[in-house]
Amino acid sequence: MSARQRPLDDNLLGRLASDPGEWLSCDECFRLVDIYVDAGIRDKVGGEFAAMTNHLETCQACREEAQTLVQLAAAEAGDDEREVFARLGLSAT
Amino acid sequence: MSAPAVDAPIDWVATLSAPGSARDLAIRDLHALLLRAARVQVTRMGAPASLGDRQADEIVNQAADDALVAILGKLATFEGRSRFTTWAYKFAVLNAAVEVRRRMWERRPVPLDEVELIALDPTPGHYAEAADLAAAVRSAVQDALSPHQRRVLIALVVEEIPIDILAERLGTSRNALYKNLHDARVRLRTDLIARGFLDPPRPREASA
Repeated sequence: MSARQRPLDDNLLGRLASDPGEWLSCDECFRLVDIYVDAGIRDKVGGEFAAMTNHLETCQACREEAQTLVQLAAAEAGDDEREVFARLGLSAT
Repeated sequence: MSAPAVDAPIDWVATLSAPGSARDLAIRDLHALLLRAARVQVTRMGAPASLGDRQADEIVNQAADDALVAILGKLATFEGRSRFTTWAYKFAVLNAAVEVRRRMWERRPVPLDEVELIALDPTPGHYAEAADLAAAVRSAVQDALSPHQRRVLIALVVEEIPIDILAERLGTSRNALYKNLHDARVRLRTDLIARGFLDPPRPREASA
């Protein structure tokens, strides 16, 4: 049976060749994600979250869960979630 | 989205740790918050539309129940570096997300066989440099990665299989698969940099 074929368009190229950055495990991401999100609420996002940012850019499942946490935490804090996403450098979708 | 007023000055850890009626009330309030968190997650993932309201409700309730048990068992590990509610929400969100993915994929095939990446020919909208990069990525995926790294990279990045679904099918963990993916990307980029298709990291990045 011949292999399935997938075109290497620019979008896929970008996802394949993206820089994974500093290593952070999914477990460690889960441990830190509430601290990271609340830092975004308080506008206190610093360089200590660089590995977290890298991880969320390249791990779709962790990113989906972090996005929901931003939505919940921003609503609770009365903050504009779009601003929190921007402070965190995290896509909203 | 309106949110309930949960920032009343309640010491969640102390209240949940001491037996009595205050604890019972706090558990009830916490469960309501967890239900809401799980509901937001299943809605964001489109579960009511794709799985139906009944299954979505099941997921919400189970995710909140399991999160409550986990939180009560982990109270001593809460460090106070975030709001308690943000810390608590993440358990319900994780449970709900994992279960939505599982149910959405339980009847879908998870293709793990070989994939041939096709480098597009240059066209007016697709420059020669991009076509060269595509050809280089294609050969790097084939030659620079181990068979397992290639399979994980293709499944997660090309086929976009959720990582916890792939972990379940391969009998491994989300953590282990993400490590495979990370290592594959590092190898891929190292190969592309060595062949001049990507710039090497700047010194500060290299030492990070």
